[in-house]
Amino acid sequence: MRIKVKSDDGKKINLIFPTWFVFSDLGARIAAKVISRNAEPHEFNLSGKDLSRLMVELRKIKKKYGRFELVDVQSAEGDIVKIVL
Amino acid sequence: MRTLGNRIAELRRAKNITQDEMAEKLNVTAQAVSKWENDISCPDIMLLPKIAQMLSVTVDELLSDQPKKSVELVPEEKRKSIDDLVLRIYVNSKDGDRVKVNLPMSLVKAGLEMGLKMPEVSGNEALKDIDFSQLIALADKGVIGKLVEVESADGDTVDIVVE
Repeated sequence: MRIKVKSDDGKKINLIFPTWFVFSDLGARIAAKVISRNAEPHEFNLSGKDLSRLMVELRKIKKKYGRFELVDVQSAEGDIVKIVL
Repeated sequence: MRTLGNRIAELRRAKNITQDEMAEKLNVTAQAVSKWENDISCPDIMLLPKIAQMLSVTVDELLSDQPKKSVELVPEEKRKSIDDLVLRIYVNSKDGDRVKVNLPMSLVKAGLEMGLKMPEVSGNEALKDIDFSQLIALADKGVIGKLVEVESADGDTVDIVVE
């Protein structure tokens, strides 16, 4: 999984996470913990079990499509954020 | 026959984008855009995905001389499984921000079953009142294409396409 950030002044950040880790049950448990600590329950209420199920779906998608662009954001100022599986 | 230049011009005008704005975003001159639209020259192949995205169409639709079908009912024998479809959400703000979210239907279904709401996914209030389970039901019955087109009073637009 890759997260690419490019600011309008040309700075680039490429974050590469190993797919096996991000979409593993361990990854889901860590994500659930981070979400429960940082998000209000009424804003984002997902259990570790729910996240595990999403991870299973994401693993299937990765297997099926390979490199799949989930999100592409381009601001008017020229900032770009992309999340690619 | 509608040419590539005709299509670029039509789609650009429909989205209220000027030739200058388009040129600036593509790092070309306004004269280059004018030449494309008058079929004097063609855009570089590397620019086609960017042009298509800016005009909220696929590269196929941009290059095809067939009029774009916004919504289509696919006959049962030609239908894809719902899990092979992709839900694409295009959000264009009046300030020029562009958000494109591509979600395989299998992921949308899983998210909805968990009670996830789309504002949590996209952060966009305009999606709050859209019933995504109905969109899935439509796609399941073979209706694909641009199923939702919302334009807010502020000038923001949200298009939801199933393909």
